[in-house]
Amino acid sequence: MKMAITGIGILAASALTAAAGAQTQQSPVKDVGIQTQIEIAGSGLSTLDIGRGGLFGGRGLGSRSQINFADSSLSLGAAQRLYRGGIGSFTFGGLTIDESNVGHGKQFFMHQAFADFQELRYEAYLGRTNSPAAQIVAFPTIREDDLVDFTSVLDPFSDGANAEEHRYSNVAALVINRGLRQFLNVHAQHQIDSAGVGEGDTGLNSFGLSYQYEGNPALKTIERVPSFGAGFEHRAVKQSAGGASDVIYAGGILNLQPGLVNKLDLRFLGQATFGNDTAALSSLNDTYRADQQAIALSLRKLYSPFGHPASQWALTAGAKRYSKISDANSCGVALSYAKSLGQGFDFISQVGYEHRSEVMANAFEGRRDSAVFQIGLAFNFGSTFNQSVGPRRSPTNLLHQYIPN
Amino acid sequence: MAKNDLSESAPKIARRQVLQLGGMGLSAGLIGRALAQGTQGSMDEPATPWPAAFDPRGTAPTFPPRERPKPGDKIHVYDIDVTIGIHEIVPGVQAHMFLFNKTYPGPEIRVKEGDWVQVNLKNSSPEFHTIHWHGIMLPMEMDGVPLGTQWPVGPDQEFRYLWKAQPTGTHFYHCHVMTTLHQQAGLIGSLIVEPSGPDLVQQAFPYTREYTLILSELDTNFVRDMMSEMVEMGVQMERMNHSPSMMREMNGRMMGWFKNKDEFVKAVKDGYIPPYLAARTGTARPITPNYFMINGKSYPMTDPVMIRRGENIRVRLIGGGFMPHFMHLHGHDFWHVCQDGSPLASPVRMNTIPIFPGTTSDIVIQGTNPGFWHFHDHSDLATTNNGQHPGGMMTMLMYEDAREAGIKWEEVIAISS
Repeated sequence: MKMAITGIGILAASALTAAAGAQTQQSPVKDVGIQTQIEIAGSGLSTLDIGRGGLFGGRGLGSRSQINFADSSLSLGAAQRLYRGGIGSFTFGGLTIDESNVGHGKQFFMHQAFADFQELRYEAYLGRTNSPAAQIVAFPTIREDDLVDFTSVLDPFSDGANAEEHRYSNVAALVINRGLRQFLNVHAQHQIDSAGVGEGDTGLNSFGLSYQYEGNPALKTIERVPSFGAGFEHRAVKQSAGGASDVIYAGGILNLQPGLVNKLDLRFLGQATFGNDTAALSSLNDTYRADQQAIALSLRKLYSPFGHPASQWALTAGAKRYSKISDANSCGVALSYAKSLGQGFDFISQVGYEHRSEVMANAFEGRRDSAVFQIGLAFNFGSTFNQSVGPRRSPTNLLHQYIPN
Repeated sequence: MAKNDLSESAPKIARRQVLQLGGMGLSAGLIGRALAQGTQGSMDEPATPWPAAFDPRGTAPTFPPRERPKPGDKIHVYDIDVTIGIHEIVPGVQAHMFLFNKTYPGPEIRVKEGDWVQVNLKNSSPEFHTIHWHGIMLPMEMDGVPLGTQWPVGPDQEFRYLWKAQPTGTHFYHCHVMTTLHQQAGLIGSLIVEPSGPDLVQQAFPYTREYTLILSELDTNFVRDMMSEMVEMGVQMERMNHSPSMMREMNGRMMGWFKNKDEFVKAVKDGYIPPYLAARTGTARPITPNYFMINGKSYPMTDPVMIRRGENIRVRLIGGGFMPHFMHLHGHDFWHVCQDGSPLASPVRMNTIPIFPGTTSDIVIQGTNPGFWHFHDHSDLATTNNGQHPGGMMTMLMYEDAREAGIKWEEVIAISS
């Protein structure tokens, strides 16, 4: 799910967001209460893609064009106020994946199915949701998995068929905050093991912690540094696949030109993995697993003439190299444009290019270069019913004492 | 509930000073409660007939509204500070609110007709405010309508209101900036102008105790969302104040403000489509109230109205919200004596009185049936707290001497909210 101009979705994008709690089975404790708060959020995203070399990410299917509706999503959440100021919630959602574009095979990816409990000081969540590393910074490409090799901390267990595996995982996390501005996330994950290089199909295969600073949301376009974060992750890759891998990463947003109307920001993410002994790249999984260093940068110009986003230009670039494999560099760039046609509805366009050196290209069926031009429409929407729970990090809660309801 | 025991003349607002212009000697003790020396109100006391005279010129102000204070005139000076704080409607249900002097409702202003009132409004919140003196006949420039009769008072700014108190009666004051939010979110208070001469109600229904009940309702979700929007905008503007380049980015349309209709029409032609595209200060959705309050509290946290057998009490009802309410008193009839401050041509006997938004009604309840009686909005949605009954706009008429009359009641409060 990606919102071209307006940012990140209400429910699914961040476990820091008060999401929601519906039940499909009876609760062990049956109770009578007021109607549960229900939230619906979605994103429709369709583009006409024309390109060569496997389209974006080199993972094309041999076509030179396609009608691409990947990353369209729908999420449903429910939330309830609990005892002693707690808020309980559950979010469930799915999105279309690249493979759905061809009309057969897998159509949907369940990207959200998690329960969340939060109160003022801490939050605990459990289930399928955004990988903690994916919460540090979001890049303004049309789809969040565009240039994913550079803009995401990669899942070393993925076979590469589904880019969402880098963004979402099964997570058990405890988040402790200070002043609702600084968040320490301690978590264990079962990252999706489609390549079968982990220690089991369902076991925990990843552990880590991350720190994130989130400034006052009222000042996200005005403060120089509205957010930044860093983290560490240990991944239990099989010895036969090179052994355990560790990754450290850091990223953030720097407002080069703060402002409500004209805003220019720089987003960055750097990462380095080490500890895995993979020394050749013959599959996509090898490219995710092998020790590497990657950086992604993005310049975004947002124009909001009356306080509403109207148009956005973004130039996103990334580069990667491998520690133990020579001539395996790669880089990519995407120039993105979005223009609001009305609230939540955008015209979108993007041109992207990726280059891989010869060894790296081996993992991409020999494709050293790929380029794609995309043009389309995006619609982001959300609605809340039976509202009784407010955003946890509202400006009033941050500046005038926290109220749970 | 603002209980106004007239035997106690403690002002409800921090009255900074009473200015004296000229040589007339004054003391604060002379201000306000002219009736404080009144005898214990009783139905047994002789009452004078109700004056039913009708004067077709009667809506004219007693004093020229645009006159200025003269030497010797009394000027009551009040300081009112607007802040953001937390208000508790019922235990466990709190909301961020705008507050006049940190109270909801704001402090009562009570003066005598013909006195001058000077209010120094200080805005200590990040949002714009004014005060509209609802029911007062005053100079247009003091009427408190933002972008109409005055510029709104910005953060850290002050504005001095000065007007002569008229006409006599029950009135109220409220912020007139984004009234749907600001009045709902706490910026309201009672304004009582006592007669400089005989009090017709007092003469007809001798009383010593009176109560002021401000009736209002609240959509906690709307207030929460919009308060956050306002605070966000205010915090942004405060930061932008320090950056000339960012200040140049501010414009009226961002706030939904236009210099005139032509500018508004031009903006629509340029693609602005209100109300389908909200301004930064716009509402996100229709307002659906879920709490109904008397003086800022919902049942069972409303204060009771106390009475004794044979006593008259005056109750001033103020429609301080955006919905009509139909206040019904169990076990009694009462007299409707004043509407919007003015005495009726003839008191009306009733047991349910409609209180529409922006109106005030004074009633006299007579202690004729000792016990413990409900007094509530008979539009039953308003007797709920977040949909749960009982709650909301409900209080009790309680006889202090009920036990002496052989009446017993169980002190049980039913709560399902």
